[in-house]
Amino acid sequence: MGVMEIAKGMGITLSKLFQKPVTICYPEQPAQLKARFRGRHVLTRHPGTGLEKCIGCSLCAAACPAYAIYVEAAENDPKSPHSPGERYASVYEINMLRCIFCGMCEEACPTGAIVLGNEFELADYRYGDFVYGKEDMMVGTQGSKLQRREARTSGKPVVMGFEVSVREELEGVKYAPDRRVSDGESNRASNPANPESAGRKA
Amino acid sequence: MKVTVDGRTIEVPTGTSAIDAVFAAGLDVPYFCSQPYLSPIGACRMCLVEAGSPRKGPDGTLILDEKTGQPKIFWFPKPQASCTLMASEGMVIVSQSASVKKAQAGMMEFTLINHPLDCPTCDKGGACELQDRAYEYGYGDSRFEFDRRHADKHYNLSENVVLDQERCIHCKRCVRYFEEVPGEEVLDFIERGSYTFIDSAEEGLPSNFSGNITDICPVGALLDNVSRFRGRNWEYDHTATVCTACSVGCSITVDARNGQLERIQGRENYQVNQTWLCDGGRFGHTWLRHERITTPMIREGGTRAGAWVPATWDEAIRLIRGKLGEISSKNIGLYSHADITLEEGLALERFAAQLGTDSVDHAPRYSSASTLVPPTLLEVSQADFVLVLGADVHEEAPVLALRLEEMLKGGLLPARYEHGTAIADLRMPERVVRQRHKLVVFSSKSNLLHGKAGLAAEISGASALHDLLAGSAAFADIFKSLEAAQKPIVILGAEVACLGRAVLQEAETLVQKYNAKLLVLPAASNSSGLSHLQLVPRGKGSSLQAMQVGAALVSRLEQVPADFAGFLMVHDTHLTEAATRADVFLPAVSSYEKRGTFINLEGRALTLRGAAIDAGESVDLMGVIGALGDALNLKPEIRGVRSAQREFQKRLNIDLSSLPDEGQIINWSGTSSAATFSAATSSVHSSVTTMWKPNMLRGKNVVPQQARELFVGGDD
Repeated sequence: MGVMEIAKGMGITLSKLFQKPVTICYPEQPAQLKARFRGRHVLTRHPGTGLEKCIGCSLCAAACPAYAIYVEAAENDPKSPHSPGERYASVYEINMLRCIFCGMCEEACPTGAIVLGNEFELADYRYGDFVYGKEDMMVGTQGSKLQRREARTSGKPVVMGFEVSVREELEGVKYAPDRRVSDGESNRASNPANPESAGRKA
Repeated sequence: MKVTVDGRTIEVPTGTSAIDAVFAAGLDVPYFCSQPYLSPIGACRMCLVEAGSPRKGPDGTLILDEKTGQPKIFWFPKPQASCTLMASEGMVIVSQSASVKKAQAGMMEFTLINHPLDCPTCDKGGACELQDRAYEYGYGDSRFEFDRRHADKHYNLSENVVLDQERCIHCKRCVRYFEEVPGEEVLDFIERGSYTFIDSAEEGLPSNFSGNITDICPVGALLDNVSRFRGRNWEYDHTATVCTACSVGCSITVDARNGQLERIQGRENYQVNQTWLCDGGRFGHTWLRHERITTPMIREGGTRAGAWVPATWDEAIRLIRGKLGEISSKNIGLYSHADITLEEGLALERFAAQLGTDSVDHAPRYSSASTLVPPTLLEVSQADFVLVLGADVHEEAPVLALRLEEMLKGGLLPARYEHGTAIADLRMPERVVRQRHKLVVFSSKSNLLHGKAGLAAEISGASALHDLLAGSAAFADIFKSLEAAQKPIVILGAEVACLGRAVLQEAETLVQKYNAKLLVLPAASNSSGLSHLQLVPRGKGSSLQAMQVGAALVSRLEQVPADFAGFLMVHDTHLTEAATRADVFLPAVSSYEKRGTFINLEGRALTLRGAAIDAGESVDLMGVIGALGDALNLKPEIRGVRSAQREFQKRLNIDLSSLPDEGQIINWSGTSSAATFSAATSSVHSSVTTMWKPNMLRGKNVVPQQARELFVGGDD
């Protein structure tokens, strides 16, 4: 190995020293997610009527390679239906510890009811808390079970550690802007290393 | 008869339909309207094939092809529906050509024009003939761009059967079923063309066998309302077992999900139930999940007035040990319901012998059993004269009524091939005239069979039997029929069988006089098996009615004598009336969760398999006997199904662990049979003769109110 090669290699190392870093200081700074990032599932509703898209057909559970989904169906009361048609999911559970976020459920769903969202901060303390029910995944619910528990006890809104442009399948989903900016807890907005986030926010 | 199917020449019996010839050749044709036990009508036009046959010339010889010198095949100009096409000698059938596939795919497109394709919400999805055939034979696309027919999607035909009119493809299976199988025309097509829908003129479906249409519907139009939306077909744990609600022993598939019994479907057993079930057996299972108790319970404070508290088996056994220690083992009574398996019955028999107690009994039972070999159900369907005395067949053994209907139709059974029962047996016509003169019914109350019989009267079965033996002139026609008949059968019901040995003797004399066969409808589902075990009380006061013992184990019996004051152990699934007076409650498994053998009314041994139902700490009778043995420091001789089956291997020289699917008739001769009950124990238990058995009526909302009135309240 000659001197030239060493100098070349060191040159690459040195040149990186003056480039913008590709890493970010998560969780102080929000992660920048691509729209198709597969995170926690969302159960969507029909726009307009507000009825659940899920009809409890259990095809997601059949498609799931990790056996993470459990569905129980029931008959709609015609006077106050949960979903259009006769059938709705009375129980819809996903075990987030089992889920491998492959997106097969989304592919199998005939009504586009189950869509993989972008939330990934699903850490929790007990096994039982990783089983997400209907109320934990229905569109409009923000954050993981733990995040919402903390938000309840602290009285502060749920804080999300990422930013993303929501894809259209996630009808009605709005991931709350990062509150830490306005609270002044983070220097992310003024961070020159992350101009993209400022651009997206605008 | 030689037939060539797609180049394969096969031998089939005369009368085979073209569709069966294709299946016999190992090929497949889609079909919706054919059903092995119904007449073929060619309604769906799905089973199109090309066919042709040689033809004879005026000189009586086959017309030969000029070029090849072989018999010339004259082809039908268009594809033919193979289910209504009789195969003939030398016929050539083409079932796999491109033009046949195109015709079938085109038919499929027509069938799907008005089908809603709501498979995700349909309970049939995953087990749907239309879904499968559309996938295998359809284009996968439709050129129909207009509005589909819209109709009522949730139309309750009865409490138990729900109709989706949009999904119906007008195969007419259900309509034909009601006319041909139970002989009760309650459904028909209304309107014509694409407006056609099925409905009944009456409220609900006034039939004891309405649930079968949910099994035979090839689409999701007729569905089981009891299991509606309880699970998808691939999610159920299917267990092939036998129904023990009555003594017929129909083959069933028990579908459980998450440890809960959700659905029962009929399973084919050519010898017993074909594929049919009664509504009681099909829909009456929901009692099991309501207020079931699955842990042992003991009394708070140790007195009967104390409230029930859940306990462990160890605690229950400790309590039993304390109480039974003060009682002589001869003074312990063992009583069970007569629907236990043969293995449990043997365990009970051996344990009673070990204790040395005379007080062992099963109920309900008749004081005496017939020793004559009963006819098989197939023999009933092929009899040429049947005399029913004192039986309400629709209630005591419902599916037997279907075999009687078959008998009235002439006893024609579909042929059987290697590929199974004939898909379309062209000998079976629609609307067969019933030979009513072949059936005579005498019972003190009018029942459904009265309407079908050539001669029926509301006189007690016993007095009719007495008059028949006396040769009363009023019965001259019956004597004539009995004498003329080659294969006559006499059926005795509860009303006669409970009267004891003398009346049974009369019946035996009658059948021997006319060389007939005698079928005594058993008092409970496994009575015919248990009657061959020593399970009858042998001393005074040892019967279930007297129960003069210091301590008693009562397994799944609803009541104990009011004056019984001893230590009472109740083994049951629910808190019954007997359980409210018990000192210890031991949880029982139901027949759906048991392994073992069941003997039906024709003496056929059928295998019970345990479904995947969560029964907590419940045990069967063998388990309870094991616990009692534990408490008494006795080791029971029979501790499990396997040791019981080893004992039966010795007694009967039959391996009960590997019975064929259709069961096997057991020859009891040469065994030490208890069939000759002693006169001292001739106490009679009231036999419950309703299709909805008492345990089916236990839970709340168990049986739809309408059915309850129809089948239970209707009697009084």
